[in-house]
Formats: sequence, C-alpha cells, structure tokens
Amino acid sequence: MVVLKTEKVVKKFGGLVAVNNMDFEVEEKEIVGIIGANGAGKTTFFNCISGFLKPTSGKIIFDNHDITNHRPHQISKLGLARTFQIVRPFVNKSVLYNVTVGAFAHTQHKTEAIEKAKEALQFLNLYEKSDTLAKNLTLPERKRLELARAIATQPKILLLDEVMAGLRPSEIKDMLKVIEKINNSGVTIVIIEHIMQVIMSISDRIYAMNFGERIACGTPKEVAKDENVIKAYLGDEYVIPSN
Amino acid sequence: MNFSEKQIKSIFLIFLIALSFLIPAFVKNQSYIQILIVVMFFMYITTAWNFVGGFAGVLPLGNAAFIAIGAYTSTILFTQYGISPWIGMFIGGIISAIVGIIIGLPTFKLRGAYFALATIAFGEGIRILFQNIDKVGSINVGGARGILINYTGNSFVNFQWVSRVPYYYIILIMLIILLVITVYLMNSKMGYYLTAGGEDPEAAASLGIDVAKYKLIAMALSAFFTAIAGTFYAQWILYIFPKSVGSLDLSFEIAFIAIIGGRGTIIGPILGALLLKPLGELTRTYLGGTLPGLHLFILGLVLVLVMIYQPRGIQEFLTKLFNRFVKKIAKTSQS
Repeated sequence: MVVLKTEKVVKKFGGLVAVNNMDFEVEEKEIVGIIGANGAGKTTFFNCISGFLKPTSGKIIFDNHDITNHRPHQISKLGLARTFQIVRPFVNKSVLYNVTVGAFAHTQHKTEAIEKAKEALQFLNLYEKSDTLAKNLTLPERKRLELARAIATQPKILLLDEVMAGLRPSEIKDMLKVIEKINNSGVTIVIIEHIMQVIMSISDRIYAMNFGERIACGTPKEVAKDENVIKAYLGDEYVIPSN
Repeated sequence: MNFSEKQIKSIFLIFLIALSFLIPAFVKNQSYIQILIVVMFFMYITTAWNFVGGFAGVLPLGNAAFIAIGAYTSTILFTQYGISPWIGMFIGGIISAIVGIIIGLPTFKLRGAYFALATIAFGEGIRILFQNIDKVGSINVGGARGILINYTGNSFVNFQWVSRVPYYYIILIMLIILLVITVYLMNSKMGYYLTAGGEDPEAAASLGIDVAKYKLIAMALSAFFTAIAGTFYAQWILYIFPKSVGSLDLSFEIAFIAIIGGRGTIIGPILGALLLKPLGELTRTYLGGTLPGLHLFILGLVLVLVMIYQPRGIQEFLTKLFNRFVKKIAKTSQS
C-alpha cells in the first residue's frame, strides 16, 4: 500500500526552480532514501511534504488525504513526523519535557504523556538523560532526542533530514541500528542523506535528485549503477572503466 | 523528625500563605499595607502578563491597555448605570479578552521586536483614544480628566472600604487564584504546547502543535486577568484617568519586573515585584526630592546588570539557593 505519494510537485523561489516535477512514492513500512548533491532540492522537497513550504504546483497525498495545502501541525496530526537538518530541541527544557511535548499528540493527560515519553526515551537509549537540559546534550544525543520527540507523536511515517550529518563513524553505526529499530516497530521511513554507504545499506529503494529533479529511482544497486547518478556525483568526464 | 524535601517545601509554602494572611493583624500602619497592596498588584499583573510574555515567548509591551479596558468598563458601568464593580469586573475581563484576541490575530505573525513594537502602538492607541474621547453617545468617558468614582463608604457590593485591609485581602486572594491557575495550566497539555511554541515555533508545529491557537488562548487569558486588575485598581484608588491606568510606563514596568524576576517561570514575577516595587518606593521617597527620576535610572541599572549576569532572571539564582537550603534542612532532619 502506498502511504505517501507526490505528483509533479514544483517549488519555485522567484526564478529559481528548487524542486521540479517530483513524482515520488513510498510504500508502507519501506525505508526510502533520497540522495543528491548539496542544493539538489532534497530539504526543500521535505519542507513541501511536511507543510513548511507550499508547493508552487503539484499534489501531495498522505494516507489517502490530500495534504498539499495543509499546515505543518495538521500534517503532523495525520501521522507524519519529521526531524530537522539542524536539530531544533527546546533547549531550555529537560530531555523528558521535550519528548513529553511530542507525546501529548495522542493524549490530554500529563501522566500518560510522560509515560509515553519515557517509553520513547528508553527506545532510543536516552532514558538516563531524562533530567538533563537539552542544551547540555552532545550532538549525537541531540539527534537522538529529536528522533525520540518525533516518534513520541506515534507517526505512521518519519522523514529524517540528514540525521547522520556531523556524527562519527561509530555513532553512525548506532544511529543506523536506531533507525532500523524504528522501522521494525512498523514506522515507514524516508531519509535524506549525504553519506552514500549509509543510505545504500539501509534503504529498500532510493530516489536520486539533481537540480530539483528526480534523475533516478530504484534499488540501491540500480541507482548506484545509473549513468545519470554517476554523472551528477562525479561529473561528465568520468568514464566507467569497462572490463 | 524525618522530612522529605517536598514536605519541607510545602511547609514553607503554607507558612508563607499563612504569614501573608496574618500580616494585617500585626501591621497597623495603613501606609505599609498600601505598599504591600502595590507590590501584590504588580505581582498579579506581571503573572497575568507572563502567560504571553513568559510562556509564549514574545514580548508584549502594551498590557496597560488591558488594565485601562478593565478599569474603564467597570467604572462606567458603576458610576453611570449603578452596576456593581464585581459584575463590571467580569464584563471588563471578557471585553478585554476579545480585544486581546483581535490584537493577537495579526500581531502574532510578527516576530521579536516587531511584535513588541506593534503592542506598544496598540497600548498607546488605546490610551490616546481614552484621552480624547469625552463622550460616546450618552456614556461619559471623561477624556483626559478621567472619571471620579463616587465614594459610598464601606460597602461590599460597591467594592469600597475606608480601611486598606479589605483591599489587601482581595488582591492577595486574586493573586493566589491566579497563581493556582498558572501552576495548573503550566502542568497541562496547554502549558507544554504554549512553552514549546514559544521556544521554537517550527519545531513545535512539526509535533502537531497549532502554535497560533495556543498563543491566542494565552493572550485571551492574559487580557482577561489583567483587566480584572484594572477594576481592582479603579475601586482601590477611586479615580482613573488615561495616564494612570493606560500609560506606556506601566506597560514597561510590567515587562521590567518580569525580565528581572525571570520570564516564563511562575516565581519570576513574584520575586521581580518583591525586589523592584519596594526599591522603587524607597528611592522615590528618599531621593525623589533631590534627584527626581533617579529611581528610574536605578531600575535601568538593575535591568542591565540582571540581563548581563542573570539572563534568566534573579529566580534562577534564588531557586538554587533555596533548593540547597531545603536539602540541608532535609539532611539535618534525617540525622
């Protein structure tokens, strides 16, 4: 079943076309990666899906709802959660407080929300830090906090915007485990990432973007061999050595 | 004896509340009572301000307008229609809340200094309006002269007493009610959502929070409770005019107290008013004659120092101190 689908999504900033005719589909429980060089339009595309930017034209359908002109909080309520490329915790509040805000999405009661928040923190191995102020966390911890906060809203789908950026190799390994764990609990995942090995290893399917357009789509193997992708990443001059 | 830290804190709280109820029994000098009323009045209006200025994370600088709306509504209803100020109080509060929402709708789209500027314009607009309108139809607004409330002697229905003591108890109870509401709200979904929206509106929206809606609710509450203080002021002084209830100075003072005490905390406005109001009264009394305006200079100096060394207000330092003190007592009680 298709959970998320976009049809010919275009986003223009004045004369600049940041996202052009993006067709995109995600099946339930998949992990879908989006790759592309800096400025390829990946984050802009995410912002269109999550309602932070209004697409210039096109259609976005999530879970059988047309969410094209919905506002971010409405989309979140339908079950689409996201993280930000530059983490945005509520810095002056404790870790538990941060996650409790997310957990209030499905309850009116504080005790229940805190219970749910604690579960999310345990899930992400962040429980010991419950009382720490978010501003005193390390970067990997902040990234996990952002994930905990997002899954506390009990989403159907989770959009991850470069959750690995700035992490050390060992931390990336941990993060990969976390993402797989979230996926195994039944959450569909769309992930933007720069680091190729990372995205190749966990994605079921990958979309490649360049200058706002989709240039390839398929399994990691297919995409890695795609001529357009190689061109976009390595330049026109690069010639595949033939055997 | 064996006390936990929580028990010690509750004992302190009960002691403090009991003390504030007993003060008029010991303090017979009416002018001291008067100063305490002033302090509690500012604790109250700053706590009401805190819904928007503290928890919602923006800086309103026009809250005197709500005081004016409350004061004028109940006063006009009382002096010209004979309606008890107790009823006028709530009518003023509701009008003020509606005005708050109307003002909030466009201004909450503004960020940072622009929001503050817009609220200054709104506050001044309301004051100038009251200053220049003498009459609306048959209703006498009084223009710059203001309205004198006819003195009827001791009367509960008319919200008037000769002694200052009833006013002391009324503002004390108003303050306690408002604080209980604040504590309750801040521990509810509303409080979490409001604070989250104040800290980072976009991150909050990504978690399903309608930031604008919660800010408007906060604004309505803030305006409602501020207007109630306006009625209290009118009945306490028995004379209102635009500069006394709607001035920009008053709006600024509320913000100063909150910032120095600690915005967005429950105790901040209490500590801020407790420090600044007596300080202001003392400097005005002792230095006002020789160096008029010096008290404002001192206020500015305190503000600058607090902003540099205690950006989250004096509450942070004092709360730490208090917690350490409580820990010590808990330990000695256990050994």
